[in-house]
Amino acid sequence: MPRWGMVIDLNKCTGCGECVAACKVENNVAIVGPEESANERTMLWMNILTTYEGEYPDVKVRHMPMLCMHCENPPCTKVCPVRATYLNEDGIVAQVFPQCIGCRYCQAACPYTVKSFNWYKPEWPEEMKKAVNPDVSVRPDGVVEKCTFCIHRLQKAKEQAAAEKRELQPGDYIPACVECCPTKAIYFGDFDDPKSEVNKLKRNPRAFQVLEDLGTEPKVYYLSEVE
Amino acid sequence: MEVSRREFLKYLGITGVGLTLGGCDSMWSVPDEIYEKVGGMPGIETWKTSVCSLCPAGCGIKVRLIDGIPVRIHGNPIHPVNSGGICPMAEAGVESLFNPDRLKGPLQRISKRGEDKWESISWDDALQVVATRLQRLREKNTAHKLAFWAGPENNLSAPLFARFMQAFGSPNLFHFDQAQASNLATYITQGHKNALGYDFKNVKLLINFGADLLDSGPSPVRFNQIYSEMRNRENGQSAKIVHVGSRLSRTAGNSSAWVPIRPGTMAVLALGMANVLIKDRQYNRGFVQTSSFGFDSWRDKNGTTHKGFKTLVSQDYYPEKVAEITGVPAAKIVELAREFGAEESALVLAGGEAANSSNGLYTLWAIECLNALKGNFDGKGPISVQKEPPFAALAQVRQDKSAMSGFEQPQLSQGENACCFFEYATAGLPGGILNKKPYEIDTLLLANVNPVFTSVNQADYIAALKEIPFIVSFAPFVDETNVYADLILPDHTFLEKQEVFYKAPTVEFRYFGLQQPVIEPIHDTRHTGDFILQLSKKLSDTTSSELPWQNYSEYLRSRIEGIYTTGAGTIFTEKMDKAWLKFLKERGWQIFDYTSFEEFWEVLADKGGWLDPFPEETNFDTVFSTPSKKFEFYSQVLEKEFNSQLAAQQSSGAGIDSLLLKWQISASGDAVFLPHFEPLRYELNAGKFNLHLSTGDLITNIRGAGSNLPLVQELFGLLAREYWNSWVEINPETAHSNGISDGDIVRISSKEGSLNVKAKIHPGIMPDVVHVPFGLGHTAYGEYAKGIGVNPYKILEEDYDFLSGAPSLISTKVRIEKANGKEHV
Repeated sequence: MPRWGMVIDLNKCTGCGECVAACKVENNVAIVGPEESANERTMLWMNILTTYEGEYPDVKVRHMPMLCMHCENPPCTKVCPVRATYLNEDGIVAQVFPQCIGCRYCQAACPYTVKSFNWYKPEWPEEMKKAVNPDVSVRPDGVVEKCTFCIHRLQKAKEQAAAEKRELQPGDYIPACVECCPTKAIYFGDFDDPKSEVNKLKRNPRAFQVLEDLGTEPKVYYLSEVE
Repeated sequence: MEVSRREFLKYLGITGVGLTLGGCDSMWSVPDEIYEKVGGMPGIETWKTSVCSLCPAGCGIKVRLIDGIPVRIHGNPIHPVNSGGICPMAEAGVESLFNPDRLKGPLQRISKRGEDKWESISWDDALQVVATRLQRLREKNTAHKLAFWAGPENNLSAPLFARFMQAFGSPNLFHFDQAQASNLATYITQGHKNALGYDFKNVKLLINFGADLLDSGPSPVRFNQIYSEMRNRENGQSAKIVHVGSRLSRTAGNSSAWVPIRPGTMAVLALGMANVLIKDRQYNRGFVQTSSFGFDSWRDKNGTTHKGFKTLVSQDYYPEKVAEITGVPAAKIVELAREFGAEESALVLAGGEAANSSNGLYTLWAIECLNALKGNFDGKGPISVQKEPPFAALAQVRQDKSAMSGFEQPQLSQGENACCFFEYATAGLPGGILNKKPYEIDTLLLANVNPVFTSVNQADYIAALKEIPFIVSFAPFVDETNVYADLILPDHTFLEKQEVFYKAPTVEFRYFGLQQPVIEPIHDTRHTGDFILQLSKKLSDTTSSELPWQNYSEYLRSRIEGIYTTGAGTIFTEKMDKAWLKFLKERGWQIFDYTSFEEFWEVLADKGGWLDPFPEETNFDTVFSTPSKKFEFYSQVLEKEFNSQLAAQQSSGAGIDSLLLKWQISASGDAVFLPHFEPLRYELNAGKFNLHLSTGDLITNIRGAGSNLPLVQELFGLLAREYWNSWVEINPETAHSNGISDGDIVRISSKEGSLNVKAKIHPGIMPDVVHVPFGLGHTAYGEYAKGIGVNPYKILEEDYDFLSGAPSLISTKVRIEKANGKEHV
């Protein structure tokens, strides 16, 4: 079975934030507004972690896009009391929103802090409701949500391939952040496919995973910056 | 029509595994009338090509539509400006279309100006009101009392507006365009007013003086791509990028090295580098000898000896002295200069804090001289002169008597803020209006400008607007400026509009992108170009005959037909293999198959624009239009300008000193016409204000134009983790000595006022600089913009580069202290 995964080249990433915006629009992620933002309830499936190293004037800034790592050994699925989140056959940590009871155990268990909780029912102004992506359902209040690797696109690609009576090809399915990155810093593909580009890249000497010592086996790899 | 299972699922929105419906039914309740309009089968996906105009870059986009409703904006992969990339602000473009604060039709004011109370008026009535008023101006032979403030000149509306103003008879068309200051540096040294293009593909060393290329204009997406490309070249060919600036911005952070420098002293560093280059004889002697003027001392026709650039930098800008002024260690200056001299393909660029300062022109000039020393103006290097696409030319405007007399009137002058090159200055406009110099303005048209938000002299603009008897605005939203208008005649938003965008600053190729409606206008709005044409029909025989097009679309097509006729270039194509294109070109063939303009247009609309893949090499020997026909270290262009202005006021018998005093230039003698250091003026009167205030755009909200879009607000300070909010960046040392911790609310005070804002401790900012991002603090512009964050321009001290008229954004000193109260003012 495929193991979908990602490699982000930090030497190409400039931290422009387009992946964050693309993700938010593609997946109808709620706009929480100023008050909730001030309470740190901003919902971002993709975020950019900015870190500074050193002291003035020898400072180095690093930008790191952070999203669900779709761990092969995910800590979040193990603590879910109702099996609302699970590792699916494609290697994606999937979620069943109506099954979620909002206990937020998974949110607490995630070492990458990439899960958001819907404190309220998402609201859009009447006019803007026309412009949501019909491929992705909006989550109700009281559930946890996170990056799905744009699983709706995988479903579409599978249907397309089935209709054309062929196998899924590399490039048939890519998440919104990968597609829209202006500097082409994000690679996506099947780690199970020995010929895939991501498979080659993850063996690059610059490749690393975040908190890999936890044994979570993330399927998001990073290529470190060239010094 | 049969609905397939797949389409049915798509309609229900449950095509994703593990995603199910949950409280979302209201979310895709597209109103019936929209379905009817598009003749909708549910769930049909289509794509349309267009151009985003939320910022002046004009990136190519592909819009995804479901049942005719735009839901998502992607980049157009074959548009040469952005090559498929877009920015977070463009992602929010759909919110601009469906924004609840949009004006749904024309409005007229019903209460006092600025009170934001309106009633609707029909387009016909509005047209009649404006026409009657303008006709009266012409009857009284006062056509020149009409003024028009328009946005950047990067589109084909600009020449139409110019033509309208000329046929009507007013010289008072002003474009608000940030790129102009750098064009002026080109004019001073090269004598022409064309913008320069830069090709980075072979550049191995880029030294960027202050231009925040990744976060603000001229084209942030393009520069994110360029920076990424430059440091990811194969086989160890990656370029080195050095950023000179007072703050570790995202641009600086994405460079190989950051050189912190005291604000306002970049000219000194550039001249210091020139000093080292000259001393080491590490400059392009061939170019300097044959194609430059004023490098060595020279004698004029009266026999007077003038100081050359070489003498000036050798005497005044040796590394130790430069280090003292700039704070950059002398060893670093020598190292930087030697690296620049030794690298075969090296380029310097300037902008941002280098340009937006009271010594901006001299600074840009000094930096330009480094490119000259490198010989980058030889046509083979990275620098070229931008050329316009071969649009069909417009015939000379025929004016009637009234238009002629109006058009000959002097332009609106600038009152108190008189600067040397007024055509580049917009900050002086309120002065001219308030002082009625040389006459009062009766009617003002506003298109795509919001100076009350984006200028440093906001109070002056408000006062001036109040002074003008009649104001018409074409903005789709009520903003800080048009809240003072009498009529608002809303334009479409960019997804409903037809327009051509070209000449994005710094691009090295000829191209244009076609913006076209991806959806029919959803409100009763009208293209400003259409309104101007309708107005022309009503005004006079000549305005009608000189603007003969029935609508804007007809005008646009007639201009583009010129390109079809010449057969130049190609419509954007995926097949960008140069050898293949060349093969076709040599045989006069095109990639695309079309036999008529209609067919050409169809392909054009599908692909999104036109490109000339084989730009001619710039021959700078013919481009240099200075008196010496060379690149001028010693600017005779500026000298000539001084002399002509002196001649104009000969009656007063004043000498050059009066000009130096007027334009606040501290140098004297030959140095005035050579690039040199003009200290920022605040040093003299800083007093208890001990920190420099810096400000700048973020890619999430360029020029604050996206503040009415919820997504933009939600992601405003993405990297700082501040959403829907402003903040101030403070060096840890400075914060500590002022007793400030991260997250505290602090008060920033200047002589102009104070702001309360959240503190962010930032190790990448100089200890005596604090930075507040620009974009928020709107007092109008809809519910998402109003009252969110602060506008740092509110506390800027008003100062200008009196040569270029550019406002100085780094001339303000502030102090910070912990505030007890709440955020904001």
